[in-house]
Amino acid sequence: MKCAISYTFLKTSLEPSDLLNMDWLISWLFPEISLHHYYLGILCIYVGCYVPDEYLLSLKFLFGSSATQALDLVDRQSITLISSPSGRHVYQVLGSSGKTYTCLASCHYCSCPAFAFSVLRKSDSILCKHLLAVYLSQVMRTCQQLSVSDKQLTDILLMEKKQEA
Amino acid sequence: MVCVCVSGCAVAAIGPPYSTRRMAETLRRVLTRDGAAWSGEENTPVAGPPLLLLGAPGSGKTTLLFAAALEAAGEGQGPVLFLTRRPLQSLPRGTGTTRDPMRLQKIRFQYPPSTRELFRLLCSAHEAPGPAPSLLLLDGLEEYLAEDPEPQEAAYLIALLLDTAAHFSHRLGPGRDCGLMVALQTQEEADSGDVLLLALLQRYFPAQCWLQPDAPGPGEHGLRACLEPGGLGPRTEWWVTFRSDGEMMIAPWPTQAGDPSSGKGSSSGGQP
Repeated sequence: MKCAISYTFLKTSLEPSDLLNMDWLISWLFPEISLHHYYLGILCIYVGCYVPDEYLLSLKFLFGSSATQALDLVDRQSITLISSPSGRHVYQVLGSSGKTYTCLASCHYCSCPAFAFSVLRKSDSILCKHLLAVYLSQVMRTCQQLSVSDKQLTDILLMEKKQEA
Repeated sequence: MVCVCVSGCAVAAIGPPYSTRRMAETLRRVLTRDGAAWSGEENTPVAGPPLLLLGAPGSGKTTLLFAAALEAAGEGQGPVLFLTRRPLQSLPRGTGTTRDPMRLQKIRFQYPPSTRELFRLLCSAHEAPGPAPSLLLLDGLEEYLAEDPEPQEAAYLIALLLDTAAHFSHRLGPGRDCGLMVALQTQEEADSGDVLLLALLQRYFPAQCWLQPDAPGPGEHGLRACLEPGGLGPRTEWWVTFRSDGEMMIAPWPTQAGDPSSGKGSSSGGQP
């Protein structure tokens, strides 16, 4: 499985607020699922040791096939956090097809067709692999970083609108 | 355990959930305002989960939005941003503290004439100078959504509204949030497109307040305002009526024994 993750994140520091943030997401999405495995996994990442399969299995259980694809995206450093001096930020994920998708983590939105179809229209899934990759990269504290000007960030946000037009 | 922070790796945490019920509390406060009853709540921050106001034309959504704006403007929490397609035909006359011109001055009105302009406004919200608003209000969401019936377009617009509010919260600093309240006009007969849209909206707006024509007894008229704070609190209902002079009267539902017009409110002003 994706044990490579454990090597990548040997040197990370995790703050309680990070756990709380993901905690909120998980318990909002699945209030009845025990967080035991989740915390176990986080602890393992924290100490940089081998990530037990149970943690990865939990991810797969919760998120289906998106889990493996999301972990893949994280491994390949496909997530970029774009921020501007104003403090506003947006995520862009380089999909497997080579297309870049925009994700708003503050409110759970992705511009990919799978999100529009499976999540919004069909309610089959609660998130797409890109959003899961973004959340994972937040917890694992790893993603590319890009600083742009306020004006450029406006254009990036607006561009999603134009593309869909 | 050795913790080494890898420089250059930043975490933009998922925005923490708005503290429970605070947004709905604002609406609740508006709907149950009884003059001096709320004067003790000076320091309670306004924001909470994003709230959606739904109702047919003329059901008082604009009035309620405006009342919420006045409520938020009076608490020393910063300006209020009110977005609507057309200027309100008339501002509510107001009663008591709402007549305070200082409150009105803190409400910034902007009138994006098209969906494109609304997108532009939201996407560039971080460029705008000046203090961040503590409350973001949008009236007439249905008009903006009508231009682009695609669900993904609608989702992006709604997501941007939430993202803009989240950015304002960030700018306000720790312990303070920017609330979001949006009014949507519903049709009498909902078609499948509407149902899909509503499901979409309910995903992004945990708290909802429905305004429906109803009355607690035979021969009575008015609206039932039903507030669902998104599973974080009990559902509350009020009875809303309009006097002949346009003033909105609010009472708990079902009407307590006695005078149904014991609530205070603002006059209805113009309805889109």
